[in-house]
Amino acid sequence: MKPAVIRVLLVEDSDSDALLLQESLGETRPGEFEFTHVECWEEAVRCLRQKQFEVLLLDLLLPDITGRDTFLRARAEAPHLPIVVLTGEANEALGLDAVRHGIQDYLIKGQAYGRQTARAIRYAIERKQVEIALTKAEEALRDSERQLRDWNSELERRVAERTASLEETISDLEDFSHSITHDLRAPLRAIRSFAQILGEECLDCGRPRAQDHINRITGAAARMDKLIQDVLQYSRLARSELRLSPVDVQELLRGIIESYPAFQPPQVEIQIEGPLPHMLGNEAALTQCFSNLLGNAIKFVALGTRPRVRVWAERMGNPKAENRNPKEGRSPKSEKGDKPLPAGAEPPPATNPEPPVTQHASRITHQVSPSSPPLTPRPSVRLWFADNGVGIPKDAQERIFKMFQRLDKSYDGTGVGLTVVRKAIEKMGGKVGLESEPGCGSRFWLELKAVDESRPSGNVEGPSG
Amino acid sequence: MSSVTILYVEDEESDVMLLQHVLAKTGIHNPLQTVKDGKEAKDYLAGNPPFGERGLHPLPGLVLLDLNLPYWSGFEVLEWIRQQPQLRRLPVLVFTSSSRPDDIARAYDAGANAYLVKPNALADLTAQALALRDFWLLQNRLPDTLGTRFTAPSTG
Repeated sequence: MKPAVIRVLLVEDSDSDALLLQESLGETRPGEFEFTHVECWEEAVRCLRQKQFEVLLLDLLLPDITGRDTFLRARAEAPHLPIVVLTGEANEALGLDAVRHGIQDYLIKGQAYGRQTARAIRYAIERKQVEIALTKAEEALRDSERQLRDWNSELERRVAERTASLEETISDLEDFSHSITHDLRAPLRAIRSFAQILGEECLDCGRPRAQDHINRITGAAARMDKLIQDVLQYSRLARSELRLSPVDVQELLRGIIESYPAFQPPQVEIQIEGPLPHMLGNEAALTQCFSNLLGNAIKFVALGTRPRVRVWAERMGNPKAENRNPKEGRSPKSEKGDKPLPAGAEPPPATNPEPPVTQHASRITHQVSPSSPPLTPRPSVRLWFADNGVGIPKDAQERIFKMFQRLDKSYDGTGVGLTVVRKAIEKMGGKVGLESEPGCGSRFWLELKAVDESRPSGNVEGPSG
Repeated sequence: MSSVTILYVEDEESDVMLLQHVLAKTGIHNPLQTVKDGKEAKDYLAGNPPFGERGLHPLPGLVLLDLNLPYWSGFEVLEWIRQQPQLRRLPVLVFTSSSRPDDIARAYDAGANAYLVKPNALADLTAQALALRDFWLLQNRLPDTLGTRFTAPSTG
């Protein structure tokens, strides 16, 4: 393979040195190099601008420029040309300096023979090519990075734009739903109230059918009103930020039961199998959830059955809970009544026999992952609400959490209660679910983060009221 | 019971009729004047025609104010009342179907003395009317003058 001729621009003011170099190279590698010889920098520049070279051999002691400036100027003039500088024996430091400044190599005059010089030239060319390739690659990389940054900022801009437009849409929708619900309620108020007044005026009219019709109007209007209120409540909940704080759920449940006669004996029996651990939640939202769950538990019973509800807590599997396992027997809290229930265990035996919950009881779970999961997962607590109601068939268990879903129209209701529960619990970063079979009652549960009980709950940001 | 006039600012005629019905049934016999929008409310309170005759249209001691009104909203009426030197102490109870937290906050900011949400059941409206009578007409002391002409009685 015949190598291509290497065109060398030799800048050397000493004729003898130039001749020596050319001859020694010509002897070693005949025909391989083609020389253009100039004696000063000015001429060199002219040549560089007129002709193509593969390499520049540059003496550092020229009539019109010397030393460091020589190679700096040369590099600036021909940034893509491999350069080898020629220094005197006393000036080797300058050669090294040149290499540090991006010159490919240096030769010391009088020490360099043909073969060595040829090799230096070839290496210089190779090195320069690698350097150029590297520079190009770096530039390409920088370009890619710049492009990526551009795309990224464009993407961010678009996301911001769409977020803004979405937020606007949401806010419009909220206004819309708000005014709809209020504008719907106003005529309803008139229908309901005037029908009621009419009913009062009609009491003595001796027409029971008319009275019945009026009752149907007021009943339907009242139901419609309840529907609107429930939807309004749901939409409020859906868009609100729920602030979480430790909640004494046992106290909360006690308060709810106390304030509603419908939750009290003798009509119903609600048994709280405490103590219940504090849970991380929003008190107002939890009040709503508990009321809805208890309300459902006592509502959906077979005719003539006295509703019975049991509430208990189960610590869910986590290292902390295992430490508290009574088998380890270390925790002073592991006394009677405070035993944590291992996951999947049966609740403590009740005084009254409960409908059996079989292993085959179908389960359904709604889970949501909180937006920013904590680094170490907090243990969670599952609160169970078991009733002696009519139960829910497996194929309906998913459906009952959806808006307006009612399984049995013979029970009063709007079909929003469980939708609110699920939404609220999800907004608190928790889960809800149930186990049930027709005729065997239902066991609803909600799961929330437990409160670190090593801290007194009073010191933590507490719920107001 | 004081016999102060109550001014009810309400564009919904059936709401006016319902309140009249309930007041009559609960034996609240204070004169009830009604205006149907924000502009009329201002004219009434300012004594502009056709409300210029104070014998026929006496200054109220209590205002029930709906928020969603034509021309001027309840908020604007309320803000206007608080800017009038002769009216700034006038007790104004917002009486609306909105339970929106924003509306409640805004009403208090504008100087409402109370915020009542219209109930949808007649029984609840009756209960509310009785509570209103007990608190605002029996227990609460209304100012003798509604404006700024109050001067401290000089001692000695």
